Amino acid sequence: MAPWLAPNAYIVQVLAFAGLNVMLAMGLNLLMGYAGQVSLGHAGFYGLGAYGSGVLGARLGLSPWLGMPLAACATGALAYVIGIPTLKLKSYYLAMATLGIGVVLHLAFVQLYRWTGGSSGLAGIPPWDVGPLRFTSDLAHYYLIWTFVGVALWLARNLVNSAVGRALRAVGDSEVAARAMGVDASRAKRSVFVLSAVYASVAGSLYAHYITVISPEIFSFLASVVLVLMVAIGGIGRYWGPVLGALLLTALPEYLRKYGDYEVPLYGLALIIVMLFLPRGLAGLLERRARATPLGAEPIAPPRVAMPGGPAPLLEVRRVSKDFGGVRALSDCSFDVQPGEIKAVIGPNGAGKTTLFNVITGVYAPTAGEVAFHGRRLTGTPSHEIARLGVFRTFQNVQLFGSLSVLENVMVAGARRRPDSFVGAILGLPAQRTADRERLGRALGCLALVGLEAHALAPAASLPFGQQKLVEVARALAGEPPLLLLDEPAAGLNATEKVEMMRLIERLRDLGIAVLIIEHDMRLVMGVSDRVVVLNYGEKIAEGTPVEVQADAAVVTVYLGEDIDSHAGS
Amino acid sequence: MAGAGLAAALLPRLSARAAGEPYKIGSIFSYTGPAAFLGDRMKRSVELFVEETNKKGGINGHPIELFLYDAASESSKAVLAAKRLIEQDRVDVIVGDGNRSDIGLALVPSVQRAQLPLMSVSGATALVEPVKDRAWVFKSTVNDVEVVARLLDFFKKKGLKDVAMLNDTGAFGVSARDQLRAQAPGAGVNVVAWEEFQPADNDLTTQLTRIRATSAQAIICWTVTPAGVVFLKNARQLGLKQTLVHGFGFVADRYMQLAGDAAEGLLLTSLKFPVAEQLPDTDPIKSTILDYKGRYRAKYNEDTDVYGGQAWDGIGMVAHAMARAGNEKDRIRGGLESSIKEFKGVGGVFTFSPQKHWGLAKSDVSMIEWRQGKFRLVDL
Repeated sequence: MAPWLAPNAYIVQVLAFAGLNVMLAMGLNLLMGYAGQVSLGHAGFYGLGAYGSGVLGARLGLSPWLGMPLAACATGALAYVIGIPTLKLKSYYLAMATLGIGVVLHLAFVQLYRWTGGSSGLAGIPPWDVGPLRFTSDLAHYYLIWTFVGVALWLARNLVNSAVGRALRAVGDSEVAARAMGVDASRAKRSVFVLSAVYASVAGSLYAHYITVISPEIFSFLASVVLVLMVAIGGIGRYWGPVLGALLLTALPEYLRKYGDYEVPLYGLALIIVMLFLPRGLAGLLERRARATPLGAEPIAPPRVAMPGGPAPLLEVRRVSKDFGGVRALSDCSFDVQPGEIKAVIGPNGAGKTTLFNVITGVYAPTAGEVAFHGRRLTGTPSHEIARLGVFRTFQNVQLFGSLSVLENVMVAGARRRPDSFVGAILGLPAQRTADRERLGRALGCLALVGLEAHALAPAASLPFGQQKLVEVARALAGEPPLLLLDEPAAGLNATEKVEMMRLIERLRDLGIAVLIIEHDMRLVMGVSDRVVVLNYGEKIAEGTPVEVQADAAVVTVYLGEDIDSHAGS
Repeated sequence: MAGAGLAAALLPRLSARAAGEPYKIGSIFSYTGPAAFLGDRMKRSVELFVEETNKKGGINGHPIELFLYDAASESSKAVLAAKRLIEQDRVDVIVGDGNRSDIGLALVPSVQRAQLPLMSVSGATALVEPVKDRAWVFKSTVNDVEVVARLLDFFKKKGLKDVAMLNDTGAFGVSARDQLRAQAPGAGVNVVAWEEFQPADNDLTTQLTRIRATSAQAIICWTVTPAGVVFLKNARQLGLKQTLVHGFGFVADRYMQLAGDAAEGLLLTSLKFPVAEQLPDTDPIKSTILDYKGRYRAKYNEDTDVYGGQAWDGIGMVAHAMARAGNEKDRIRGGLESSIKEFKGVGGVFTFSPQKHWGLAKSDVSMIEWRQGKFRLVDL
């Protein structure tokens, strides 16, 4: 990076261009690698920055120092507005929508020729200056660009290491689970979309006032693809990935120029080799096996849930129905959960149990009826807000955040009471860091409760299935919820693990947490539940203590006349 | 493969040792990417020129050392290539600007700052105007100023008083419209309709219907895009009887074939290149064009085109100036301004001056038509 090592201004310019690409790829990596949102239109934002301050400078004589922030604000605002509808889309659809944005912006640069100079480009953009001093040398631009890159890297570093960065990764891994842990996924995605657009815009302004001539082709779809390539080659979702990718993809073609006509095939070959042998990108080379850094925080045991006053039940499910097209998954279903109560929901497969959980946690809106928590109506409340009110859950098919460690998984839920602000996170505010340190202690306490503190730093995906289920419970517990929904916690566990799970549920009861549990394992259900609700074809057919339910004629019929006990362990 | 590439890259440098100190010429063309359909023949033409010159002993005994880089149809790549030529290879002059106007424009600040002559092969007038801000840039292509003037002369000669203008909203079309607006009154031609279309449009019947309601005797269409084909087809469908004219960006067999019958009898403004064989033997550049075409064919076993000719002219004029002024940058610039007088190129007869860095005049533009599958000369 050191320009004093560079023999001439050409190398300095290559490094300056590399800096711009680092900035672009860094922003794109925050969006793609962390939040999991593909963008194929990023060059459009690059162009907005370039044309924004370029046109203001060339047509109105505005200084780049004013033009750049104005363009960045406008680009950020546009990204915010565009983000509202587009970020609701996923995978290919999102890719197509962003591709469309890029194409539209590119067309705008071509068609608004009275301002932009159209396809033959905009010349006469004022160069960077400080007072009467004009930046003319490549070295001056090099320092200017890398100063901005330094700031961009620092902001990104803060974000990645913050609770907000963790939440972003959680959203990228499993949006449903992230919402269920109280993460406002829409807001998080929109914020990072705006940030990456602003990065691109600033890079665009830096380019425009450096070269002083811009044309639409620089910001075309192809340029967006090259940016995605930089992120992929460097290592998607790895902090140093975009830096390495951008440096390589800027410098390599220049280095290969000396091979004349062989430049293009050699370039292709180099890319293939990187992708074949470094599937985790160049940044994969830098990674050590596991971080043995001391955690520097003492575990804090989860506190007892304070008993809320008032006679109202904790959770009320009132006449809830849910249709999927013509299929009625839930039909006029009502029951309550009292504070501290452990209640099981049982029924044959397809009885509507998981649908019930999804209605309670706001994943689905009920067709009819409503759900109330602490007397407050939940229906219509977004998933993450329901979690923030104090309803946490686990998933039937484990939905851990695969790119996070066990500890980080648990910490995601720990932010429910006081979620960090995005701006605070990128600025690395000390208050937020302190808050996160405390979260770390609480998360360790939750892990200790489920007996997994020794695995705190392991990647969540590396644990055996049984332990992953325990991590899910610990994660839900970290939200310190008055109500916990467990979806088949014992499914797939061996006999020893089932006993551990039972003990764990008892401990939850000791903490005063009310638990609503879906389970097929009758020994567990009958062993821990205070009361049992039986569903069949979406209808509640019985409710009572385990003893009452086992004696219920309707329930026995549903289970084909078999002794309920024989289902144990099935 | 890398070894072979290295050897190939070193080859011109080794042969350069043969005689006196080499003259270093840099070249930037887009021979990959969207602009490659132009850049490929340009690159080959320059390579051919260097090979033949060196075989004949170079320029005054100085072999040409060619540093050839691909702009890949990207401005930022071209800017880096230019910087490399200036700072690392330390060339005396650059021929070729990535062969697209916007790429060429992006190179202007670099060569102006480095005070290095650049011979552009792209179209935009802004590349060389105003000369005081573009002192180091020349171009080997025609300007729409001359083309429009030539067209107006033709209208006058044929007695066509009322015409309609239909241009695309790209820079090429808009620039020609502005030229027509400026020159038509002086030429006594009345433009009765000004219509525009987007380069990607695929229906122009609205504009043509409006033109039909006017007294226009000829319709001028100015574009380099396939929308020009739509213009011909729509005019045929509407049964328009007016004379149809295309600008110099549309002289391509491929477009004529796409338009089929609708292109029959179409008039075009063009350099003489496509109709070289039909020129009278007294024409000053007939033999130059045929000579270039022949050499190219002998070397590469395929036909060249007018764009390859622009690069051939570019390096030809630079070599001409270096032969008289040597290889110092400001002397090359001075040499181009003073020694390119009545230079017989492929595109026309070039004359540069300190006030004028594009060399062609309206006499280099001819009127041609497309008839029975061939471009034919109509009016010299």
